[in-house]
Amino acid sequence: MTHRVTYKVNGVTRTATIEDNELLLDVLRDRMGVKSVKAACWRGECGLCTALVNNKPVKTCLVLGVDADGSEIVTAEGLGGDELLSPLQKSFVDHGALQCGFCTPAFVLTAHHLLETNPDASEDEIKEYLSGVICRCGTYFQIVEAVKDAAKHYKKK
Amino acid sequence: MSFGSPYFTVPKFEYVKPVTLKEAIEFLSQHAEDTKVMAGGVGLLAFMKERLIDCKYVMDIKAIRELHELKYEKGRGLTIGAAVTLAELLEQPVLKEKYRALYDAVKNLSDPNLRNRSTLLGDLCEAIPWIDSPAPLMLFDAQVVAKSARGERKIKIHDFIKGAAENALEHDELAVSVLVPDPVPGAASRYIKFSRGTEFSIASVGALVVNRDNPAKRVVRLTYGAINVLPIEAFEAEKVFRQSKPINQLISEALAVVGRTVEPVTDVLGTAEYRRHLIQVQTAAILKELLGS
Amino acid sequence: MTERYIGKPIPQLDSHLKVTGTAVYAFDIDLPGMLYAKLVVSNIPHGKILSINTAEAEKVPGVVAIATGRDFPFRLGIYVGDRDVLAIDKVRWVGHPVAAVIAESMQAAEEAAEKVEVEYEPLPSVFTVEDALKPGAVLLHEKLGEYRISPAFKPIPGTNIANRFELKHGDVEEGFKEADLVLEEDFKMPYVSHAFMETQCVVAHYHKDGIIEVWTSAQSPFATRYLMALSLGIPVNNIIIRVPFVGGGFGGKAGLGWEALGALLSKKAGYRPVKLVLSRREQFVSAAVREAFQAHVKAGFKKDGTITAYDAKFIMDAGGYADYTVNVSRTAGYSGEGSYEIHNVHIESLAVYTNKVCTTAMRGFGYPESHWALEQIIDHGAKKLGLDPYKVRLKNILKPGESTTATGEKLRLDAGDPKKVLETVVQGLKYFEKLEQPKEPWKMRARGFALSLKGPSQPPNAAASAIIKFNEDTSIDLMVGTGSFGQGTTTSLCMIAAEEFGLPLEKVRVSNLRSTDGVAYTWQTVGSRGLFTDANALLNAIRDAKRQIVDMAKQVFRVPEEDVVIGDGNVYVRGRPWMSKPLSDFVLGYTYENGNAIGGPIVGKGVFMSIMNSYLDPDTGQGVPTIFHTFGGTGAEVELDLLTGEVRVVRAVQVYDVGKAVNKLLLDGQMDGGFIMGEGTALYESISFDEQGWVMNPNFTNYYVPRCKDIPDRVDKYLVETPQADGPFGARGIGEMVMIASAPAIANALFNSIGVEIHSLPMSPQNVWKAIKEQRPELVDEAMKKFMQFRAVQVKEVSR
Repeated sequence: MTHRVTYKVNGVTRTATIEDNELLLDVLRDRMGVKSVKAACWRGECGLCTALVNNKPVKTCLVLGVDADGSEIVTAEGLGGDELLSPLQKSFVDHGALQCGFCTPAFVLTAHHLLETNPDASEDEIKEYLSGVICRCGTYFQIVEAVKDAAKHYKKK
Repeated sequence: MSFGSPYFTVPKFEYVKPVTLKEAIEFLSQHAEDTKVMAGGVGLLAFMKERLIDCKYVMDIKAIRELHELKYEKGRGLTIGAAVTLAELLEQPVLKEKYRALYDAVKNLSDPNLRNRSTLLGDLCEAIPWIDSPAPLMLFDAQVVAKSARGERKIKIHDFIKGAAENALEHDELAVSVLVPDPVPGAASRYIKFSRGTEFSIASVGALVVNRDNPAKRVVRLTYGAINVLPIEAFEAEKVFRQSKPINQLISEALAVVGRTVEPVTDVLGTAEYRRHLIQVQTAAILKELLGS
Repeated sequence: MTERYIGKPIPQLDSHLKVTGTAVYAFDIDLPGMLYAKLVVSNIPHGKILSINTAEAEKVPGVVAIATGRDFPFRLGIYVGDRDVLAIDKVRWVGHPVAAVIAESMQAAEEAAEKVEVEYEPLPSVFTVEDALKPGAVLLHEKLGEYRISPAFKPIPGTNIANRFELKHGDVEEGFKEADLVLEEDFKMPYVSHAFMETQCVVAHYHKDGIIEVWTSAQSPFATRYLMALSLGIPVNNIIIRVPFVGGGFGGKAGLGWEALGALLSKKAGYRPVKLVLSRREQFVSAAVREAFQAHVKAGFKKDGTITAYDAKFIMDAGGYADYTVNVSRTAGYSGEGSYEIHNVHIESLAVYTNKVCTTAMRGFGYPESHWALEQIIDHGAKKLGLDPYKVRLKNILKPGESTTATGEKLRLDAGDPKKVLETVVQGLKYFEKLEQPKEPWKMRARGFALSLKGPSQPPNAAASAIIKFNEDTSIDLMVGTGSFGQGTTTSLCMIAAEEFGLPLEKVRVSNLRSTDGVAYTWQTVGSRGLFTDANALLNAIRDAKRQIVDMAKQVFRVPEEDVVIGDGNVYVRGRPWMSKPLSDFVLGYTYENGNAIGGPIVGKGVFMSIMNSYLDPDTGQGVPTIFHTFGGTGAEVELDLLTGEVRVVRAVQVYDVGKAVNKLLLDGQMDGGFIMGEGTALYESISFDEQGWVMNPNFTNYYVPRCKDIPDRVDKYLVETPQADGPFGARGIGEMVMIASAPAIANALFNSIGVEIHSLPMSPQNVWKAIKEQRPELVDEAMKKFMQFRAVQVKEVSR
């Protein structure tokens, strides 16, 4: 059976006609060309398929596309809004918080959600929260610094 | 049991999304053998990728209002609906206040991202040896409430897991909630797991203590997860604590009984020998915390 | 003159693309009309392929073609041509690819792949090197003698030995006679996975005019192209390998990947593009991983700590194919002496076939293996002699300009400063200072360290070249073949060009999609050679470009060559600053006022070839194997939980003599990241096999790679800079060096504190606990007693 799904992806309404068993990861990547959402394990262990779905980070390799119908989805391409880069993304760049870059979109989205919900997160809380995403290049130190540095942009004035 | 699928896709099925409980139960009664129930979908889709599950229908229960029930009632206890996510569950203050062991388990179950989708019943129904939910739920004598066209059934947690990835539900039954009874006033509980170097637990222990300082009325519950195919309650070790001896002595005695009666297995995560040792360490740690010394 | 860019911390130039997720990897490439491929792999460890029945699979709607080994009778290999495109007559391990389905969708391809039926005649299997080496053992490669072999390697046909390397230096028998103490020990390392996040993937298009185009996540596009051409019997320039961003390589994408298979599938599918992406399971089970290693070593020490002799036998468990691993075995052999001058060394190193997943290079390339043994036996010897491990190392340390290495290489004066590295490690670690112990009496803290060195393990004639092209506005395109998968070499190359021409960095660019028909040749992006060889080639290209500019300018200004200066976007005459013209006047040729033009577009070309390296003598291993040695060391301050065997690194120290720090930010990234990867292989990582050769943990749940919460509190990083004369700005490489000494440093910390020797990796809680229980059982009992007596116990929220 096919379903016509509609998502708002980075503020833009997107539709696709998909099968029951298509995963949100593949709908985003292959049907809608949103390639920033990666995959490295396809089992929910690595976190690289993370997207913000209705403002919550979700592993899209384990969500059905039809299940996500009507959702608002934010990915790394859209985090900056009208700017090219959000302050968090700029912080990642400045701190060298990336090497090969394959995990970077997932870290940026996850860190963004952490700072939105807990801008006063301690270093331990940051490390714990980010442990759902793997960086094989080992850029964790720089990522933690980038997140700490960007926290000021999320604190309520 | 080993995981690691070569497949990116899941096999074909038809997706149905009933909006009432009645609809869901009726569908299940008609298509019992061909239907799998999906809440968060994390476990189900992962299993489907492993080609361990094949079904004609996937029934998404998230549109059913009743299944989102998350309510604590004094005297009755905590009702956790099948569609309640772990993240939602964690937000309930009563969890940390009254059901500390369950809070410990849920707080460290998988990761914050997956907890936005995963459900407690989903974890329980997966029934693989390394899940976190059985051991704490056993401490509180929780029950799974299952509904079918034939009526309602309450299944004790102790009887819920039948084998590796096998639970006690019939094909036409829908698990609608977990009912965690109100703990005895003054009950203290904890749950710890050892998962260094793995995303699963190698060994977990849950404990609950009531009337800590009164040997005649003292109750200690001790449960284990991840060390064997089925979760285990160490009933014999628990009896030790009815005695009127110094706490440290009781703990030592209990450790000896646990060593005799709680049998771990060797699997890809660890050897039985190491697990036996971890069980001793964890049991000592959790009992010292709850009973003092 | 102060440097504007060199030595500064500059983020990778492609950072904006990476943080916005708009960097394109092979994983992201889709082409019109593209088909999807899925592998069918063996489910037995060793057997003849009797038949492959594709009838049911072909019925699946959307299936376009199914290929088996017989469709592609080609054999591939960089050093040893032992690899079929798809298994032809037999399978050699569980997971060996035997067929590939090509379909209109991934869904159809996977459905059909499940329906392909393969009939095998099982053969006896050998799962251990011991069994594989037994006389009369079943052979994995009966035709080993017929394979194309690169001259530096010596397989032994009629056996399962893919390579045998021997190093003979001095006389070890005499050396042991001189010794006051002789230690003999065994060491082991398991199979590990590179676990790069982007799995191997190719998008291949065999065009109807015979041109093959392949987008691939790969480290060696030129080697791949050449070997494909050789095997397929077509001209080299008929193959174009295109490398976009790569999501991690670590040596696992250095050898031949799936490019040949992809291309041949495309042809079979009617010349349509075909995409093959490996699943994570396939990355563990069907693609090459790092070999398992065992060593039997014997070291002789004098009372004063001098190491008089070192005799080692290394065996690499190479799995079903050993292509790159033969070089790893050779390298482990010649690196066995480490950072020390030992006059009598004998090392025999074997790469052996077994019926397990095939193997290839991984970061460190034989040095982590040889150092796992060497750096620990030194600490063990020191303890028995009652000497400090620092003193023993100091006694034997290589002296640049004086020492001769075990391969007979007279160490050049500017080779680096291993003594300073050693001192810096010990100081940075605060090795001699008191270490505060945790308040829990069942835990303890300890310090340990180890030294390392490495140079590229490349053939002596491995070349690099570079092309630099000016545009109208003096912006520059660098056409270099070196890959960038996180180490950021291309950023450093842009920095160098900007520095040399006095241009702003924004004006220098390297393409993010590099194709073999559009960039200059470089041997491979491996071995930590990138900066050294490609930057040297670039500097030569820059000199060439400058010569072209000067050639025009001298005519325009009518001055001798020596008086022309290029800088700050201008060309001017020395001593006469009014005689100056903008650089942009020259970049496409110079046009006089009357319209006459001279010169032409500036295209600088440069090459780099090392002139001092040689093949190693086939019998003694003597020669100059590597173009530089980066000396380094790692220190670890660990916390050991005697109750559970958990080891946690609290603080680490990384020291490397990089010659010259070109980009400080990228160097820090390497030192941190390399330590974390080293920590992973030291504490957690191990591919487990069952008795039937099945991988038990092909996933990230039970094959644990370090996560954010597993990092030490701090990694203190120190760079020693003793410039190497022939290095670009004096620089040497660092990419692999950073992970070699982590494991022995941690093991030495445990040994120094509780005297427990760790001979196998990983140092998982279970393995450490077992070692303590076997060697010092009283510590385990004591820890439990102390724990029971301890008054306040806080149950950890997370017992990690």
